[in-house]
Amino acid sequence: MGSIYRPVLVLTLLFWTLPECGLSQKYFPDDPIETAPPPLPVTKPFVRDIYRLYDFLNNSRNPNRLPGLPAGAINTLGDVPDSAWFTNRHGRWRMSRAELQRGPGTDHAPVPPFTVMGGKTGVTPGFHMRDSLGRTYFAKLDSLNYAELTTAAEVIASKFLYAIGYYTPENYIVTASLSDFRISKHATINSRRMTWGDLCEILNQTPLSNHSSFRLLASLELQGQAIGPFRFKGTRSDDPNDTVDHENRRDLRGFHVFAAWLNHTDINAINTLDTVIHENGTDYIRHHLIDFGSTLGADTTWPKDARHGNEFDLPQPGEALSKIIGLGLFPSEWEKRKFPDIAALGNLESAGFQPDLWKPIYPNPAFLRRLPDDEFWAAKIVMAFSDDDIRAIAETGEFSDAHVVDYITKTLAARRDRIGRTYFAKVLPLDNFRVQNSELQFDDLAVKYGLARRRYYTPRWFSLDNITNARTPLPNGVDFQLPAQITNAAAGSYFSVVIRLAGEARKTVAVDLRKIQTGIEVVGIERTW
Amino acid sequence: MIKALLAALTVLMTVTPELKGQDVPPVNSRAGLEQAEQRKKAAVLVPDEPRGAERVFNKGQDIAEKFFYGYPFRLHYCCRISNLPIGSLTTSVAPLELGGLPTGSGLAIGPFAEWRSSSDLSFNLYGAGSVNRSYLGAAGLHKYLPSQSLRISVEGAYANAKRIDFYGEGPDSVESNRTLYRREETSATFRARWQPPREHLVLGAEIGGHFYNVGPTSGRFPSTDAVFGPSEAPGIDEQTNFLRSGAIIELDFRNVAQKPTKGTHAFLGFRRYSDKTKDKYSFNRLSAAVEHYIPFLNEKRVIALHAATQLSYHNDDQTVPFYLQPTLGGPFTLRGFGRYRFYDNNAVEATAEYWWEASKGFEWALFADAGRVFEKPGNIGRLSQLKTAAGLGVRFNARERVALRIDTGFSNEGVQTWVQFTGLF
Repeated sequence: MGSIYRPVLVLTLLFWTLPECGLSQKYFPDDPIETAPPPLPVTKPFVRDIYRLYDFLNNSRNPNRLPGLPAGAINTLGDVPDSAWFTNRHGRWRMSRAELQRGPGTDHAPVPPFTVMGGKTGVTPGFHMRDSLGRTYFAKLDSLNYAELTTAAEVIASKFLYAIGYYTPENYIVTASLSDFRISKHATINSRRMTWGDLCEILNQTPLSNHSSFRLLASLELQGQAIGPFRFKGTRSDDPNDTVDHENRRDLRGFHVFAAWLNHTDINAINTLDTVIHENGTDYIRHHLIDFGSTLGADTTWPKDARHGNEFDLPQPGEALSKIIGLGLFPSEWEKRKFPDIAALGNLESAGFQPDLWKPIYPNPAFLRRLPDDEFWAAKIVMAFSDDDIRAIAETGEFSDAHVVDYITKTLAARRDRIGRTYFAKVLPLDNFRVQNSELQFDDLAVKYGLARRRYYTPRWFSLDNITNARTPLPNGVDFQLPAQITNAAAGSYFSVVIRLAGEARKTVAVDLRKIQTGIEVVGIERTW
Repeated sequence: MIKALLAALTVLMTVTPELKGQDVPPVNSRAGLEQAEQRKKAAVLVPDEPRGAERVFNKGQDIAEKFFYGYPFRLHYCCRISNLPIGSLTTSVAPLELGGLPTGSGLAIGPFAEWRSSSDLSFNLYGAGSVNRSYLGAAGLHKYLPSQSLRISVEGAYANAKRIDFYGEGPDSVESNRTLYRREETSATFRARWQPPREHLVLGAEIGGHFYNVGPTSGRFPSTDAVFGPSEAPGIDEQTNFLRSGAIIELDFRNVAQKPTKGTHAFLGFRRYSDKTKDKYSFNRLSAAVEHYIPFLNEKRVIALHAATQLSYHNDDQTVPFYLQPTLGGPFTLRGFGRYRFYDNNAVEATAEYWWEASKGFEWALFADAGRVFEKPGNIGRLSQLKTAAGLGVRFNARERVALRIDTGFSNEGVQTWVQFTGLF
């Protein structure tokens, strides 16, 4: 009997390890997945803070590009599946104007009176408060000389990033007067009890509107238990669902493109937050972006430092040395840039914007590892925002001067186009592959968005072995009409077409197709550059 | 044995996912593959604690933060409060703040404690000692009236500056006549400061008693009283007490008070020193200062201009004691000269600086200083005996202030290097 069970045991063990064995299989029946698998539960994740100075020093050790491994956390089309990190929104389906303006939500605007629970002074004074319905908000203010700058940037950027696909807090612009506030007897500031005078001193630093009221940004506390920021490198060791090193996640690598577009110069671990969400009976960690005060033309309560976006705060030795020796007589290109003199807008422009050279305040490990296909993924989402879409979101900044919305729309549209030109030139910008009328069709995004003239691509057809990944040329495939071998193939067969553009030898797009009972589906896309 | 193992494996494979209450995708699927990765990691979870260098760094920062910001004690930097010895009406923006040790006392640190009531009544105490054994103790009771934007203070302070330079009065004083004296000041002052929110105006007033004690000290140079008599250093031979009263007005259009890059700031102050003991040293002091900042190249270059004067008015039978005279020379004026190099009843000075930012938070400066002291206010326009200095400096800036300033000034009396934890004006 033992001899009978032995082979069964071997087979059982093989079956047990099938997922690992399955690594050699290129496509599974459920490819391409649009949603990550359901999360496993987390239990008591460690609440971990990240110190800005450490993060700054640690990441500044290596400021150079480190392109390496292909990105993870993607499906076989190269897109990012919906997950606790990212949810496809405007890039996958067009959000309406109302949806763009709603962003993560508009149903929880704070209702006065507000009870201040604590405050902070310093460069970015603010406080946190509860509204009359018991909801907690973090309040930020504009500085005296730059009315609307910070509050508008926070709201606008949060809605853009939400529409792109990230988790962001609900941000509200609130007009309040002093009589709307109370101080909790438990409120603290600078490690002591907070007083009415402290609140007045904070509020006195923001401009008045309508003589007695002032405007503040109220950011609704995120759902779930906060457990600290996420890092842009490595994984959380106590999160079973965090299996891809963050520096290799496409949604974090590609974030460089979004950050450049929105001039989100302070994008680092400090401005992120993980929370434990209870959903469908499971506790899991969701990853949020927070604090957008350093986006668009703002550097928290100030206009953006012209250096930001162009140089890291810790300069390369050559950069600093030339400035020192040259007595400042040889200015950098960015030092000569012109910005509009609009206080509510700060320093935002498009003429000098070079997407690929854009830098956050200090190096971000995920950004440094980005590859052209990461950039392409992000660029096509950016390009999905029309001028009207941009305007719709810019209006949520509630500027008192309508010209500011015009300027932001015009500037972000111009920056968007530069992103398209830059990253659509690094790869063959072909997307939206589909089979119609026995023909492989696709969009040349550079042509679609008016960034290039119509171009003619050449295909080469192959049959594809899903196990060995070997491609065997098909003799009859000379155009985008499906060869007869494909149309006549049995369901479950795989084919591939490699698309090239004359004069761009290194750039290819390989599109893998799968014959199914009802036709042919696009199952995978690979790009070279 | 094999049979038992097989049975166990079969049960395990079948039951485990259900035990976890998960929707388990088919194994032969992308979702199944990814969830297998998740399960593999779930088997080896450990708390996501900082490790290695990060852990050490975080511990250090925690300790530092508690040390500097913990309640109720914290370290208090005794930076420059005025650019002149304590007790003078200063040209800085904070003449009504609690004073620090005079420049030249060295880096002084000490504990600071503050208690504040919920009605915005606060009491603070701090003491500071410096590397050259000067020290300071101060206490203040402050009431803030938010509705009126008014801050009212009663302050008491004792400062003992161990060594202050004196070279004799007037622009012709000789460098080789350098002497040292010790100055104690005990004061009790009532102050009010009104700064309407969102306005550029500041008004302030004060009245208080100031009790000075000037005496001999030891050091590398002779004691002042051994070299200068009462006619050359008025007040050196006798102590007196003053009732000091005054008022200030400021207009501030700078973008930031501590580290401006554009805008203008103007200050005008008046103080009356009434000698209540000897009736020999009463005088009035008028102070004025203006700063203007011209940015270019996106504020990465700034030309900073500054001019200030202090004028003393007194009756013929009165005189200004030397220890309350304006001075020039040191880390804030005429930086190529020694500290307190020039004393007289009146002073005027101007500075021009060119700043260029080499990198974030790191700035260079070329500067030129000029100034003179003089006996009578009417002589303010005379440019003879104007002293000049020029030099180069580096500044390490935090966001809204100068964290460290190192200036090297050159003059006909040599080279001076100044290390300061505050800005220039």
